[in-house]
Amino acid sequence: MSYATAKELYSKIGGNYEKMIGIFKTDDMVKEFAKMFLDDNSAIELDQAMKNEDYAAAFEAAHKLKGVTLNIALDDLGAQATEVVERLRNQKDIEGAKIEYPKLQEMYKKVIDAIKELN
Amino acid sequence: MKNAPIEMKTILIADDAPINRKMLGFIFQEQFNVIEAENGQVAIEILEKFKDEISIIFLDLMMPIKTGIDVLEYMKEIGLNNKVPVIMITGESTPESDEKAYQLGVSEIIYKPFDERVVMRRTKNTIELFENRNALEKKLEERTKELQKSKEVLFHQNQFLVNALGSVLELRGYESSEHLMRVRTFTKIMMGYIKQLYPEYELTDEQVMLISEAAILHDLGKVAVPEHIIFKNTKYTDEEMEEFEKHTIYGCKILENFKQQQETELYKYCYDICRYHHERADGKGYPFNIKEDKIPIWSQVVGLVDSYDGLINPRLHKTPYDVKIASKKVKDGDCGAFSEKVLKAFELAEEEMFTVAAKINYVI
Repeated sequence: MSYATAKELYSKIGGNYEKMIGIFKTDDMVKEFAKMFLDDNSAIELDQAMKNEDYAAAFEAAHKLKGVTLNIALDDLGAQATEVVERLRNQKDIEGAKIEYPKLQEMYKKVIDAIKELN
Repeated sequence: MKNAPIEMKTILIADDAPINRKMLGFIFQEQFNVIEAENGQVAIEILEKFKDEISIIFLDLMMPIKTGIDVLEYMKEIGLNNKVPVIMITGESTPESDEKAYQLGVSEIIYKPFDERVVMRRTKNTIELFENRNALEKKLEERTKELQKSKEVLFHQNQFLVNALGSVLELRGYESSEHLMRVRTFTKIMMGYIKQLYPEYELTDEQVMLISEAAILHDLGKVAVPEHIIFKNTKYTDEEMEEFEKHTIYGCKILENFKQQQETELYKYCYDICRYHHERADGKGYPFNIKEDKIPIWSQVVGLVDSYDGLINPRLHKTPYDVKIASKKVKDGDCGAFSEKVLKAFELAEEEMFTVAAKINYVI
């Protein structure tokens, strides 16, 4: 499935298109920024840190990811990132984080795949 | 075609996530010149190079190599934190994290997700605030410099006047210039110790300077006393003594001619010193027989200094006293009664005064 406009993409991946168009004015510019998300490393760093059980680093990476997703209005993804962030904060609830994290991974993959389908 | 303003202000955006940098850059690029830093180290390097040109910094706290906190600390080190505002855009929004950020030196906190119009407005407001503050500080610095300069000019003018009057005394043969110089220097040394020992007088260094200049004119009134009395070598009659003692009041009368609309500090010191430098702590001085603390401290000091110099001055004694013997005479009350305060200062000052006496030697 390919997406002709960023508008379509955003509706499919639970993003706030209205907000994005308000800032970036054109659909093309929104597309450009959505594609930049493919190059963002925070998810990779988070993955690495979780594998290494370095939860302090994981917190920082998850926090970064949350920031980026909120910036480009990927609200649903951002909400899930927040679930992970809050459990990792001060290593409050590592077990809980381990449960929420796979859900985040899944959502993230879906978003990345969708963006790759953008024309 | 875009109208580019002649001078665009520069914004520094420091964030390790490219998307974040690009997004802020996008918002500001039309109206500002944007520089990016991908970590704290680069941010610091940019600040080192362009510190005077950056109007505002958008700072992320969590960055590799050097963090936002490192950047804030660097700014504090070089005194940049009061000159260049820092805006932190963050997903954290607790009172604790906010307070921590402000303590570190952040000026504004904006929460994610942000509204770009709010960001633009607050950015411009913050830039304007800091620019106004910096301009004001600069103006204050300049005014302070100007004020200091006029003070110096005024001081030199006063010094000129006092020295001119002092020369009159010297020309008439009433005082030697060495005596006047020593009185001035001795007074300066003594007043320095008075300032130190007795903070209740709240003396400033400037006032100490003025008092020592004023000391030069302590015997100004002698020009109004008949010459035959001034230059008489033998013992005075009672009438002659009475007339001689009036040199104190005559000095004040002469000074009154120089008084301007407002009584300056220098005038006050000259007046007090002329008037009271022959009073004694025990009330047996002249012209008013006042005692102790009723005598202005500067007059007391000049009184002591004048007596002391009198002992070591070959003009007044065929064989003047040795500096140390003279010092003992002063302390023993052999040449006048001085208050405890002044004697205490003298004890601390005498070594320095001996040195001065050796330097400004009397020509016999």
